[in-house]
Amino acid sequence: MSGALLQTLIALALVLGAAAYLGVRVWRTVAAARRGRGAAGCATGCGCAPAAPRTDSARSARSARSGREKTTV
Amino acid sequence: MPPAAAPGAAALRVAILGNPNTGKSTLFNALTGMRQKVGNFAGVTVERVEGYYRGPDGRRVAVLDLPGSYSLSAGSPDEEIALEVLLGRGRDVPLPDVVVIVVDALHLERNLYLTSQVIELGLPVVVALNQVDAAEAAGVRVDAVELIHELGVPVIPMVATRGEGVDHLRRVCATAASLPRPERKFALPDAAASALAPVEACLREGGFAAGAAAMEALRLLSVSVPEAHLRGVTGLQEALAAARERLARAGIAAGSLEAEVRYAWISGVVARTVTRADRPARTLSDRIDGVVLHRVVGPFIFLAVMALVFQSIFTWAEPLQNGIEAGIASLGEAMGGLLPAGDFRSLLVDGVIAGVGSVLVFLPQIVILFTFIQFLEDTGYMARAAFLMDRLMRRVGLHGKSFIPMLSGYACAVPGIMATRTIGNPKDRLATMMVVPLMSCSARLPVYTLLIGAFVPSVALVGGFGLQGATMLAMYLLGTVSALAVAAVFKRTLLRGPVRPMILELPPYRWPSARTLAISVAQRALLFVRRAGTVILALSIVLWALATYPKAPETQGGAESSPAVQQERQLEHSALGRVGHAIEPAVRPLGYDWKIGVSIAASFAAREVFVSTMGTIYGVGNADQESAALREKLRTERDARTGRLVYTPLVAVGLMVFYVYALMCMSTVAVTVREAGGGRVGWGWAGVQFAYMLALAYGAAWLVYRVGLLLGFGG
Repeated sequence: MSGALLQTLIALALVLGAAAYLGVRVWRTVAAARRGRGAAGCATGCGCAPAAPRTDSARSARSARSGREKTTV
Repeated sequence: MPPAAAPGAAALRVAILGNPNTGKSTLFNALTGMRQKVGNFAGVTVERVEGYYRGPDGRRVAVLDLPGSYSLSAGSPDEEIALEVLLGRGRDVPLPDVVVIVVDALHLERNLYLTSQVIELGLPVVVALNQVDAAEAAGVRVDAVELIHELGVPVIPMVATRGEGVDHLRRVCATAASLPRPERKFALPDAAASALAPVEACLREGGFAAGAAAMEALRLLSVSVPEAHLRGVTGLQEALAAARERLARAGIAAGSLEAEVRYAWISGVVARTVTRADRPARTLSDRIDGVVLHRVVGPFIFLAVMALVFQSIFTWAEPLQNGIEAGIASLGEAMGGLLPAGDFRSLLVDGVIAGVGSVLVFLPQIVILFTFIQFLEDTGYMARAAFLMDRLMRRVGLHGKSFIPMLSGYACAVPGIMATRTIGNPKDRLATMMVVPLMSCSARLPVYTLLIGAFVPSVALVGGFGLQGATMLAMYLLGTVSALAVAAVFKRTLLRGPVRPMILELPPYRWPSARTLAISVAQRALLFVRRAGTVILALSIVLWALATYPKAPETQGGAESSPAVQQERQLEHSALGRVGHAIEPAVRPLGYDWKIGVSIAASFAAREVFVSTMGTIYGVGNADQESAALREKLRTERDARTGRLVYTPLVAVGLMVFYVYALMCMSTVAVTVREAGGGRVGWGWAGVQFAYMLALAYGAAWLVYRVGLLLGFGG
């Protein structure tokens, strides 16, 4: 396999990964819009949510998935 | 501070409640070690927030920070959350084991109203008597021991901002559940007690505990429509109507009965527990307010403060921005040197480094903007800004409370829209929600800064203010004025309704804590970097692919084979080029070429993607200028057909105006759908918002360009 072909394959893999990531983000945004008011909007990727607790990353990740916590102004 | 405990079921659940701006979130942060947003104005927390700590007895304690509320009468969606949780009717939230009521020592009388209501619920209650330092500075001393006797619950004097009393509170919370349950501290007139007995019975049958039923029966006398959590109680409306009738026959005003009996009790408590030293007629806060709230001088001070903020974004950020630009350029060159030519190298250099780097260079501006905003919030000036704006808000038909969500919109529209929960009236809420995205958020800052830095000369105007800062201020003012104008239209058409007066509490001025300020700004900076490293990175990679494939056939010999020409041909031939040319007719009337058009289209996901897309397009298309900063590339970009400069100051101003108005943020659309009621109604309002903002953006950008051409600014 030539170096140029290898570079093309790596680049395409990264592009597919990025596209899949963006697809998941879009899907999560739409899903958050359909959830009730108790859900957190900032889990959708606006980047405005307050930071997670310093020592409890597992709970933070779970909260972000469930969309139940962490949104205030 | 004990570390946050590991996830798992909590042994003890503590809910923090209190009047707005009493320091609930500060106490929450002190207890849990979290960094919840705090501010020196009412309405900062609009949703329940949960954190954990390990109690002194080793038990895991869950802490719930509830939105501020003056009473348990739910006048707005955020207050409803607190009421539902305390009555054990909150979604997914069990009844708390202990309720901590944060009471402002300086305003005990007003704070005891809510306290008296919560005490009646029969839950274990602890009073956190906060800000005792500020009260003592103002000559107010509260006898905590006497207050314990009066309320029948533990009272902990504390200064949450300094962590004083927090450990004591943890210890008391650990044992509070075993203390005798508090009860109502005053007796109702006999006629009122007998009139309310059937209502209480009805509520008990509906599943309410005895204390909660007694509190609710008295509270509901002044509530015209019972809240959602009471809908399942059968016969409640009839029982309430009968009680009101009996009270009327006994000569008792049902609507004011609760306030009268509670405040009668509270005035006795305050008389026995509070001593006041002779105070100067005017405090320092009063004297400052005399100037900053002056009818004429006040608005000018506000404008001057904002001008200072925007000018400093250019003056102070410039050296840092140049440093980051140079660092990113060096990184690109180093990467280019390390790897052999090929798609992966192009992806790294032209896609990732050019795209993400073009956004990251605006980090200094973001830090400066949020340092100022947080400083103004923490000092208490933002509450004054809301007061100054109230007259204007009422003139356009908005509630004065709308200004706080609009102010939040300067940071990000999502929390701004969520902050509309503090507005009780649904029409006022919707009108505010519709216009919050017009406030220029931080995502627009990179777009404004890029275009102003590239096309507005750095000319001094007056008193150290320059043309660049003035242009930035003009963009923010344009968004704010337009928001008020659009709100006026909504309030006179789709959302017509009466204008309600605002009661605003002006907090005393405080010198912000450097630590709180630093944490808050660092959080914002981190979020900006995280966003650049996730969404913008992914979009840059995808856009690089669209700008790179399909590959144009290579030509041999002559001028056509120079790298610059080949790469321009490649860009034209690529999927991005084809899409750009397809949408070019739509943006031509605004003076834009296909590259601007495609950057605008990409930024429908998020506004700052405009900058990263430009970075990627000019990274792929300008091989001879790889190390030049994006603004340099924009200044020298020429139309391949006409040879004329693509970006003129007129085009740049038109573009900025477009971004003032356009709603290019998926997250904002999503949160509007949800907060406007969800389902078809929510999507409908989000559609209205998106459509009117896009129409405004296109119309205003077209007008700027055409009028500018007529006036001879096209060159």
